[in-house]
Amino acid sequence: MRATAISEGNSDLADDASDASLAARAAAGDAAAFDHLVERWSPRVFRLALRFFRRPEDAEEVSQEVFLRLYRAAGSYRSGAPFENWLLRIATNTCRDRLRRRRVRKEMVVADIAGDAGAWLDQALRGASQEAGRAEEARVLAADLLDRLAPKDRIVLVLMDIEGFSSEEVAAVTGSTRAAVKVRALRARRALRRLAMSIPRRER
Amino acid sequence: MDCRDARKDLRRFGPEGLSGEVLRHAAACPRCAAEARGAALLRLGSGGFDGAARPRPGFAARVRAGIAVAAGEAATPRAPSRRNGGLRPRRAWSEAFDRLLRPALVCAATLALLAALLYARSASSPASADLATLAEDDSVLEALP
Repeated sequence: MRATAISEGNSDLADDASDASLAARAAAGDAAAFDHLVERWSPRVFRLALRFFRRPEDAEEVSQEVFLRLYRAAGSYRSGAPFENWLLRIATNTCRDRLRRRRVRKEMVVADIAGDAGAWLDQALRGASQEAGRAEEARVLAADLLDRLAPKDRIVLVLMDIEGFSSEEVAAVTGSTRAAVKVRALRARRALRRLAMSIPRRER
Repeated sequence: MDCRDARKDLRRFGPEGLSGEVLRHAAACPRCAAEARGAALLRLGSGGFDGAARPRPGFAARVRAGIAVAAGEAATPRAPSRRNGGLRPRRAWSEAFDRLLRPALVCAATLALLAALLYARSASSPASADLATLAEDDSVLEALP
């Protein structure tokens, strides 16, 4: 998972410098060490943000905010804990905050969805390829629908079902307990099922 | 295939879709069908299946610029407003207003209110002698048949 290619000129830092040492140096004001962390971890954070914010420009904006928060909090990182968990906690918190704000702004009515819109779900289940335009339309609609989920529910679902995290890993990232994550996942799946079933089925 | 096996497959399904066996099971099991539609919705709406996305080149530089802007906003004192011409005495004037002028204005307003109340009270209750004078001198009443 770790990216080793560092493109910008941080010649005084080895590519294999540990995240903990880089974070400590960044906290002490070493800009090169911070750049190193950004280069190393930005693809990971960006891909996670893309799970929640479909447009790359939105995902990049969120990623920038994540690293801004990381910069401010670098001094609070304790090297005993895995850096990735700490970073992903900042990232998921940032995504959650953004999702909350967006959820307040956007209220989509499922009944407004066109009658044949459920077709893309059935096609996705069968793995049938769709025309590019239709596929993009389906992704936009699906992303809009997922915005209706509670941000915490969505984060747990994405981490577990898309990123493949175990409940223990999700607990470590979100700062919760394993039991709480399992309960949350159960509720989130129920909400997701309800949402999916509210989409009009394909006319047969 | 039972529901437990179907759910396991559902968690793993990718762009190739579900196996025929799972689809057949979902067709007969409403709960697994709902689960399958939910899984499809989550995958479609969560960035598809592209795992190689990266931020645009120069991302680190943009982060640095963002940090510089944030640090500048935190460190820079608030710019003087155009309304007062950016003069420092604005603060002293505000303090003087708060300490002296504001209480004086409150006192003046209270006195004006009291005076208005007294005047209204005296005007609304005319003495009986005044009423008699009015009745006697009223030419309109006298002209009545």
